[in-house]
Amino acid sequence: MAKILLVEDNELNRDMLSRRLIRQGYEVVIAHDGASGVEMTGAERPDLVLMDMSLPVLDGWEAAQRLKADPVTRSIPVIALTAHAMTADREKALAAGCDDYDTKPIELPRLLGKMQRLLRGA
Amino acid sequence: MRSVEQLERRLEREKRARKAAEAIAEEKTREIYDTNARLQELNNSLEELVRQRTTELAAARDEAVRASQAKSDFLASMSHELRTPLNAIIGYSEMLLEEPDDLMRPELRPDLQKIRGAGKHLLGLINDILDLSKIEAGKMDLFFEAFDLAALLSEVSATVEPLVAKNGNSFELRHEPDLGTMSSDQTKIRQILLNLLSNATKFTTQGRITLSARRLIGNRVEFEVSDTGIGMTGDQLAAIFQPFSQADASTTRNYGGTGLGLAITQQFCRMLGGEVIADSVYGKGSTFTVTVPEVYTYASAPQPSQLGRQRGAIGTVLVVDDEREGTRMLAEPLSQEGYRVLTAAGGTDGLRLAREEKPDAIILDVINPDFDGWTILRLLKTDAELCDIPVILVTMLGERDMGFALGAAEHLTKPINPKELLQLLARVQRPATAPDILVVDDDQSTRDMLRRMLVREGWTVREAASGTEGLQQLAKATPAVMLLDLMMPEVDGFEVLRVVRQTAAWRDLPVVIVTSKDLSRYELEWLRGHAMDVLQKGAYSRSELIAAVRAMVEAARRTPSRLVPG
Repeated sequence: MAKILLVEDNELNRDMLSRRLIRQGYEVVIAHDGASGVEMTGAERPDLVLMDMSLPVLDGWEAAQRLKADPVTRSIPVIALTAHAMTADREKALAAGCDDYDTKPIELPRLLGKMQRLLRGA
Repeated sequence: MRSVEQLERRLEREKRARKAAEAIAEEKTREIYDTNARLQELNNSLEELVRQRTTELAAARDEAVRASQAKSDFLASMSHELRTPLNAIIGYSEMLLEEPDDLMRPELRPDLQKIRGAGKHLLGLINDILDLSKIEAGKMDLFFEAFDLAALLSEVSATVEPLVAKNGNSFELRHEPDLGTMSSDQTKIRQILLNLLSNATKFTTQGRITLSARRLIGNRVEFEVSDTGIGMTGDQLAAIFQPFSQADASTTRNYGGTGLGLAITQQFCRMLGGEVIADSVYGKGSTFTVTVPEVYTYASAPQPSQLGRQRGAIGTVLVVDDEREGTRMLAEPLSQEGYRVLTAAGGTDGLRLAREEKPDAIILDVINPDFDGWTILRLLKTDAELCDIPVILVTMLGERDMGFALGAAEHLTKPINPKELLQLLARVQRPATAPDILVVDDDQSTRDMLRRMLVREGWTVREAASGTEGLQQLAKATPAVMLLDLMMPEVDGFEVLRVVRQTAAWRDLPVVIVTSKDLSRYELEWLRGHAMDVLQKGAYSRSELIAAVRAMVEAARRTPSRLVPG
């Protein structure tokens, strides 16, 4: 089953999403901030990265940009998770090279659909 | 002797009379002097007062602008803070509902559903409040695009179908078969219709809900949502678009909803240059009618007579402002940019110049001496010859909705920011000169992202979801620039580019490759020989892409023969 890296600083969100993904049969690894997210993508080589955009140390936009600039991690799909109604955030995420985005609160079936599409394409 | 005495007496009398007259004159002079001095003093203090008041007013306005900014910043960050714990409430209740095995006591399920329902309601409320405050702060962005009306309507219908079924209602979608396309903010129109329909389903049981659409004369589109529900009394109807004005507190309890949906709906309609009207018979049902311009920018194709007209390098702009300083602030950046600038100090002159010169855009200060800006705007928009000229209003804060309602295309507040002015002008001018960009990519989200970026810059965008479709689009009309993906099924980007370069009409078409493919040196060299630019997805920045496209659009403008369709 595919390995997912979840980069999220909020403890409750992290706990929820990781448990729900594990239930779906995914292997989940976790990073708490943007910098360790970048580091772990290199070390763990996940099949897909779910990245919150407002992260400490290094924000999600910057982190995504670094992942996409690095030939080693460039091909790993990144889904940005942004807050509702922040159109600018969404555009920034895509401009930073994220492959897709979804809004919080997470609607699991919708997110799973996006993940599966990217995982198939990989 | 008598005559001498008489003479002396007369002299004496005259002397006295002169002295008296002199005394009177002196007194009057003093009085005049005093009055004058008092007037002068009064005048000085008046001037001082005016200066003081002006400073106070300016300070008050700045304060109000700051306060409004602080309010919307506060709301934005507060709603973020509120949403975070709410996400946890909704998420954990959903998790418990997801796996029935976790529920050792299935009778708890309804309670969990209530927690999730209340959480989602609260979330909707927060989102609506954020939307309203954004509209108020003028920060709600609009994205204009051409879209198919019938497709939008059937998508909206599919979304509301489950809602409609809930209360045992039937649903009907009614429109003529060939509605065609409209050019507006699709997301906002969708939200307007969904708001009205979800209202209709809430207040109707065992009844009928109808969504219909038709084209009106004057290039407007009308949407109508009607129901056979509980209807409203006259008093309720009068307050229906006020925030939190649901019929009474018990309505919210019985029917749900945030009480903000209609207020937002009305604001959206106005932002799109349209309006919404409510009509209802108590106990029988309600009808909401939305009318919006078919093309937001008032921009039908340029008239042939206008095309041959003498104009400045990039267009003619009429500035109507009674203040010389205000006029200068507006005119200077415009003429520096290459516009031909006409100025009028009042409404009469402004209207005359507009008729004589048919400028490409009009910048109108709302405060004008002979008639106010609103009147001028109304006259411009009701004149068949002038109504297509986009008007940018210069207003005080908070008047922009009125401007949009009266047909203004854009809106600026003083002090004028020259950069913003030029951007707005480029945006409203788009229809006459809009270079169109063709985006060929099989991935919808990439197309979405590119379209948003490009539309922001004032360009029009066509999309093609495959190489074949790309070539078909090219054949319809040659765009100013083509953005081309490489990895597409069947006809890939390499093939498209080969065909383009072998076709005489497209040989000079600027093509930008946007790809995530890892290119071999051979491929890269071949592409460099056949395309203007190669951008690697993820490695380029938004500004790089925009700069590349802009350079090509401008180059193409200088050699217009390139744009003639093959």
